[in-house]
Amino acid sequence: MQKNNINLPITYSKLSNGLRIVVAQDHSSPIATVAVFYQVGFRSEIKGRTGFAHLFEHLMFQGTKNIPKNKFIKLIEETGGIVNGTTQPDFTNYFETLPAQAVEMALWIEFERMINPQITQSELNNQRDVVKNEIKVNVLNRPYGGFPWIDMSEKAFMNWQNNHNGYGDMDDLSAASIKDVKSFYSDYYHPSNATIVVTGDVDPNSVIKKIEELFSQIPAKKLMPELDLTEPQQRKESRHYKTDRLAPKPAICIAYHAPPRMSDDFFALGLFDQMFLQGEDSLLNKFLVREKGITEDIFGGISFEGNMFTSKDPMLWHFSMIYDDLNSSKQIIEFVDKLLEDASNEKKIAELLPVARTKIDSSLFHVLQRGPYKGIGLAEMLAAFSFYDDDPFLINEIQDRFYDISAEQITNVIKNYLKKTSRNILFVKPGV
Amino acid sequence: MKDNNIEIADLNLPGIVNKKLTNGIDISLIEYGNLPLVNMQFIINIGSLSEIKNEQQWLTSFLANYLKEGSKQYNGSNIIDLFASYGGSIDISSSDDDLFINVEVLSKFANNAIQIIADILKNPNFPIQEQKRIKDDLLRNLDLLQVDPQSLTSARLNHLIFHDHPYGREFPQKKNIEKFSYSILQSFYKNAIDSSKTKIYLLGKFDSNQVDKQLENSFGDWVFGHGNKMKSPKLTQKNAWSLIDREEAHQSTIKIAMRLNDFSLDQYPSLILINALLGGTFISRITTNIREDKGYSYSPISQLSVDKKYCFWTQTADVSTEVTKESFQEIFFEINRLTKTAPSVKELNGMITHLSGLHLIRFSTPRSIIAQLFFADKLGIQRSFFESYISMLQNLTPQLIFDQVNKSFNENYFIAIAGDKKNIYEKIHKIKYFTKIKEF
Repeated sequence: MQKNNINLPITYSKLSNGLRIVVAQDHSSPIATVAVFYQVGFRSEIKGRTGFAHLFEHLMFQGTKNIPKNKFIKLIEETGGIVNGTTQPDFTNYFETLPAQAVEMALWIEFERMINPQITQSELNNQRDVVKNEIKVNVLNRPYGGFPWIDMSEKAFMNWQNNHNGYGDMDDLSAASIKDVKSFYSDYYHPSNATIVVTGDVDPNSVIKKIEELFSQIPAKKLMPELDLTEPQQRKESRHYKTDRLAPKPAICIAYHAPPRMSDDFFALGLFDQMFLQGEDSLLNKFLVREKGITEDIFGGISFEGNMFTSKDPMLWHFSMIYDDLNSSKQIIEFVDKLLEDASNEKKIAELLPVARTKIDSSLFHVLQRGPYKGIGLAEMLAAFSFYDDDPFLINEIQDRFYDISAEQITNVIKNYLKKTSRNILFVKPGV
Repeated sequence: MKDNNIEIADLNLPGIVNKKLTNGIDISLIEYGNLPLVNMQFIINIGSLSEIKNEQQWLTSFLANYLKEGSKQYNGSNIIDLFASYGGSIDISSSDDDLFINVEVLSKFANNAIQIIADILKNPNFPIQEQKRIKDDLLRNLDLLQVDPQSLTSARLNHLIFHDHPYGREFPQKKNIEKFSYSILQSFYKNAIDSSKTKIYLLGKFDSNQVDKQLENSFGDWVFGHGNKMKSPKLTQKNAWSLIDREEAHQSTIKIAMRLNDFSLDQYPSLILINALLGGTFISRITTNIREDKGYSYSPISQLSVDKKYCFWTQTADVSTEVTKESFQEIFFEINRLTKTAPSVKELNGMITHLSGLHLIRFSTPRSIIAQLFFADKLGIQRSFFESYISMLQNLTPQLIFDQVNKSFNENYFIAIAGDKKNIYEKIHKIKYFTKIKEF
């Protein structure tokens, strides 16, 4: 089997204050992406302040000591760039894709954002309203809002850090104060807790030099104690029911606990995910979509955000679908059980393995060239590998890890992890 | 604060080889990037415009979903398995005017993919046993769209503008979808498709000689169909507004459209800039006003819809129910402000740099590059336009923009809203611009 290995030119260094720097050159277009990651996400929140990590991300676009509000985003966009940020379970990122000659400007802006954010009560009030509107448009005012990522995390995890609503309860958002803003900033927003990734049409030496010039003047800080994210082992299937007043059709999500990140079992599940769930050729799609006509689309994967490498443990492997008839939910579960049972045959897995490997390759390529923020998919993986593994070069090794997995290892994962007793099922009843 | 002295030079298009087969098919081969991947787009000139009768509505969607179910040489399952083994997928979708076949495969399988697509297009067999499932998928999708506030307002807005023309039909009737059959589809396909109007774009890393030969072999003999379709809509200025009641809705989903006066394609760069200033970017006036200053909405955005003969400017926003009236007032305020005072040199130059960078970004990912080229090809714009676009923007002045705004803008709006009627109707229907137009 011929491999299609990626071999990206990566440079990795660390400043004495702990700031990690990763540069990945790509000269296919005269643009670059500058992305700063902080190791804080909605799993870091405290009770009574759900949604705060995301609200805080919004506040970090409100200006700095040297860049007034309403000029901050303008300054980036008026260099020819586009700008955004995301809050994920374990990190928050801020990124801009812009003409390569504007990288220095972007780095200065990120430096300003790290050391000098200016957040007043008026900005807090404004962005609280914007965030509440974001929750309305994505969750409250539409059918299947928050399904399955909010709903299933709530049900399948027992540890509050993992199972609370990352978008936040409206009351918690209303209660957020400037005092909260100050302590959150002080706890998490410093170089010792950050990684800068620059991808695109850049020279690594000059980028690193510029980053050193700016960021090495910021003192190191003590990291927050590591969160306890451990989950008790699930020993019994759990079923949950929700009525969605805006939904015209039933929906279902089934989730299992994934093996530990970066273990052989984890890579084996990644391959099985391709065989069972991803793409029209997958076992689940062929049977439920094509043969039975139960649904048109099955969506899911490992973790709800990013890809399988960008979250920390614990993660869920999950899949969901919208279907026509509530009465067929029992049948769907029976079909899933039967398909999983059939798939635990090593010979069958061996037949599916070559195509699953090819699909893994192309999905990685896809991440590398995803737009419009070209390079952000890669940057997220590089930041995750630097935070959790201290090794961004893993990007060039993960294909080999997948290729080293045998059919037997995959069948073992099916038997040990995808058990009825450790799964969670969420039924959405239509309320229309 | 630092100055952003960024100078952006005009774009160099990637190397493109153009070719026309003797049957009229346009081919563009674009060598781009370092990854061993090829993106392909086959665009067939068949869309809702081809659905001449009302009862044919969504027949093109039916066709799009059905095409990959089989051809002379391959059944649906073969096609799916083969594309997966090529490290890719095949996705077929349709729009008002066109049917799109999108394919991404590892470079070494480019020829195999071309051969399969050609067989699908030339010899579709629409297997009867798959028909019910495909119809059920359409019916389910219809139910889902009819509760989605954005889909509801888009459909209503199009209806207000285009009335009974295929562009203006809202949702099809279920009974019509249920009547779709093999013979209806076959005859629709034969009559609506016109192989000579097909465009093929290939972008990525590939052996251009081999791919060229394969395209010629696979598509060179395809002569098919009459290209039956409706004419482009005749537009009348019968402006109207309409409110779709969504009880207890947390937000009002609003769309405001304006047909620009006396449009011609040479105005396009100025209009892009006007749209960017008004609502089309994060730093635009409307977004700054209703999001960053007042917090009424999360993601307001405006856009231009361009045809050869007309152009609409449309603002979309999901705003909190309790500030629906205020949101409308602020949007109208910003439109009027742009008609009264020319933008400053500083604001204009900032936006020109933003749009110039955005232009480079749009030409940095495969799907987006193909979309840009197709946009120009469809409207008959020379591709050299992209290589002088940044210079054209740089030549714009506040006075030119001010004159263009005053030439293009008018106060005749089309407005569609999906929201909680009991909470918003009384407040909005007295707004000046609502009183000037009919309620639908």
